[in-house]
Amino acid sequence: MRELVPFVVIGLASGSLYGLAGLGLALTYRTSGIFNFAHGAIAAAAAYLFFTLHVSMHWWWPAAAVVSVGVFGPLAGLVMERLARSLVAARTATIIVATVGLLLFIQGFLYWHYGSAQRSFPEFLPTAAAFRITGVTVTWAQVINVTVGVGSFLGLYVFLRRTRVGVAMRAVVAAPDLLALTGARPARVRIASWIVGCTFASLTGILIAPTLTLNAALLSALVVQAFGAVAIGLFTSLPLTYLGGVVIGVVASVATKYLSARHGLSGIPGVVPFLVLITMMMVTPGRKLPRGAGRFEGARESGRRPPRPVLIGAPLVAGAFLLAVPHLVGTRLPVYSTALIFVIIFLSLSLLTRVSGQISLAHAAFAGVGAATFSHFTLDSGYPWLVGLVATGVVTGLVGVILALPAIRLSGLYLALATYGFGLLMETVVFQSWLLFGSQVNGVSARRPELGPIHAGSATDYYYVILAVVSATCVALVLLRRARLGRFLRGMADSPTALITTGLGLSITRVIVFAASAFFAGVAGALFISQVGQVSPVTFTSYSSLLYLGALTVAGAFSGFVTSAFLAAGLLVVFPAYLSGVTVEVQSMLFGGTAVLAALVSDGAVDWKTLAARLGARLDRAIARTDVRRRRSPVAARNVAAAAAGAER
Amino acid sequence: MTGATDAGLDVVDLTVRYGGQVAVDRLGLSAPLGRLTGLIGPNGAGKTSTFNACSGLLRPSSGRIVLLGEDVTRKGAAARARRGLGRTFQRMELFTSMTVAENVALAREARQAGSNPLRQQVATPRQWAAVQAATAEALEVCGITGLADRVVGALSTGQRRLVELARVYAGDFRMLLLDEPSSGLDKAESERFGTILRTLVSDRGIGILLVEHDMELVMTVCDELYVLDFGALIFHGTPAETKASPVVRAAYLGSEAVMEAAGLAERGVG
Repeated sequence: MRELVPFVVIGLASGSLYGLAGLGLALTYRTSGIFNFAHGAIAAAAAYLFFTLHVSMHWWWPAAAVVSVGVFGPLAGLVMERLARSLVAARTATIIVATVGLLLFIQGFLYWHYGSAQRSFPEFLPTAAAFRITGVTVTWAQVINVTVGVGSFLGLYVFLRRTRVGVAMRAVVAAPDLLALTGARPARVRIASWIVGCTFASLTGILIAPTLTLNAALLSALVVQAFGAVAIGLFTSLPLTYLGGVVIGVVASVATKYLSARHGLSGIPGVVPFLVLITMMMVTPGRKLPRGAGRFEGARESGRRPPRPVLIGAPLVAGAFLLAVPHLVGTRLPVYSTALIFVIIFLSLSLLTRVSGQISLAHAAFAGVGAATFSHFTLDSGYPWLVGLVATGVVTGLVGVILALPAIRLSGLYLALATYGFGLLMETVVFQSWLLFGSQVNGVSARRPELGPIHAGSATDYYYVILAVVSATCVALVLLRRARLGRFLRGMADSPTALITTGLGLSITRVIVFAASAFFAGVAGALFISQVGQVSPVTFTSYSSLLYLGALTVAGAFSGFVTSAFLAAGLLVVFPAYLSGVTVEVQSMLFGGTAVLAALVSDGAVDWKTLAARLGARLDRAIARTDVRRRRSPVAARNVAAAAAGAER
Repeated sequence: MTGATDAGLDVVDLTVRYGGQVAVDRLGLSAPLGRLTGLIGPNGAGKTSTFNACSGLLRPSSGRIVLLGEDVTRKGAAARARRGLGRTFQRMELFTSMTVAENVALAREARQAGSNPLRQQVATPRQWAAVQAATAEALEVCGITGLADRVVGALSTGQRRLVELARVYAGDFRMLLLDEPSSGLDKAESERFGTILRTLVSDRGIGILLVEHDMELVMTVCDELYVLDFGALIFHGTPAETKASPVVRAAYLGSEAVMEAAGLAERGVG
């Protein structure tokens, strides 16, 4: 028991901060209905800002803290409120994509600007011993962390009970329309809650960074702990959220003691919050989970079809181009092979998100499972290449069935969270097991096929193998979409209730679509490992899953089912090969930023035309103003201003 | 199956609670096959809650739902639908990105597929033929054959109501729950709607339980009425008896206009 004390102390200190992050997340979710996947990224941004001010610019730390928490937090809150307001009427899936896009954008920016190397973050709080419990030293930093956590929680509690804005905030949660009738302005209340929420995130960011080292991914993943805390609070209760954070911190810390030395289980402490999250989701009756903003409808596919010549002509032209690629691109052929493989990944993701309106934030995990399984089947068990490919698809499909289990009970936000948790669990625990990648840093390997005239050594031959599989996948999925299942999936995206009340066993449909999607993603993983020879688990992280979703959203905003998969693969794989500046970080920013925009535009929250008109009018006014200053002629100024106003009209 | 041949839907001692709030209080009603039964009451009386409990979207706190003589209280929504219970929604649940024909066909397809993984993926030729025939008939009966290839998202509310009706018609359900099917319809559409409902009941012998605010429609088409107030049954009788009932009048106090309209309708229709 005694040897646990140091772990409990560490757990309390970090758990208190998790609770703090959770409070911010829960508060903003409850008042606006928008669940902010970028909550941790905001914390990360604050920590980096503090780092720049304090370490690079040598500011006194309290000054740096005031700016990164007291100024940056509220500013981030204002921006978030603006974004959230535009999203309120959007579909749940759109809202998720938008905040995930924001996460990608912020994280990409931080990587791009600061580099991906981990930096040590200064422990700016005093680390001197404050006191000792049973021989364990408790530092002032730890005391301060706990105090800040408890203090913020109590402060928030009093604020919500005793102040006018606080009471209004609770009213917004209960009935925003009713509150508006009383003359209070829900918008002002939401601004207040986003400011508080983002300030809490920033505070967590700078306090937790010293224990984590400065790394954008690690800090963004802080949101994971916050997710767990919020789940314990059932997305509603603030006291339980804070307590949940503390519990997660302590459990994770104590688990570290027992599991960190055990091979294969060392990742578990890191996923404690998600184990908590998944468990809470699986045992809580759906009706106890509050409904967020957004309409519960899935992807929107327009009923319009391109004219027949285009339908037949476009695949022919594209097919001819793809056949000719090895003769056109020279040494860049591997890029195109990989891109084709990603077409399959995007098609399978599109089947879930676009056709059936489900959400999956764990798609890269399927590809990872496919890659590792294929290696075991072909190298260890000696299956022939093609047999291995199909067997891999089947195994991955079964993994898909596991992910379908939460999908049966949950939808929208809660499904997104459960799949994200699944992805992290795979990435940090399951991938490391001997079943998949094992503990080797290099991961696992596989060879290319040697089938009749196809030579394993020839990149061109393998390109055509991939092309054949891609074509087969396209045909299979297009047929599937046309068949009865396709109609059910589209129906599911529009109105699951209508399908259930007409007699469809929707759980079975969900299992089928997740299995089918995972099957193809697994096949893609197998093709990928054959292509590159060796794959380590870091290729298919949960971050990759988010990036895929971002890329597909961007591509999907402009094109149909099959086209968007090719476009997304082009954006993700081919595009960077030609532009040396386009690194993963830049892609992350691009996809993230564009995904946010696409989300805003796709649901008509923002309309390009009005946006353009408004920008134009603003520009005119700006020009008018500079003109005025230059000429200092009141008459000319009036004319120009009138013209600008006219243009606006 | 036990029960009489005309046993449609029987609600026995149904109670629905939301937290501490009692939405439906020990309600008993029976909607037989071959008849049009109306369920009316002021807003918040518990009509939609009753519907949701009947169709299996809501778990009642207590009570039983008996469908075609079989106790389905513990069955899920899809299982009840496959046993012959169809419904429409006050806030329509349509496949807005699909065409009218696809919408209507999907109900029959969903019933055929049920929970069979293979049948969910492809239809047998015979099933497909049945779907086509049912769809064509339903479109014809509801008078929307001309809209067959239009995308539902682009239709007016009145047209959508007809699509939803055609969908339950094509689904070949024995018992229908219609939740305010005429709201958003104009007078002509509403009358047409009433005619279709009567045809369904008399020609195909199905039973309909109708929740409706359009008193004129209710009084003309229904054989029998149940009146709810605050979740409890306050009256049960024919439309004429209901109109005459002081209890019902009291419950509608504040909605007098509604009853006035019904009175006018009575005179108007004869």
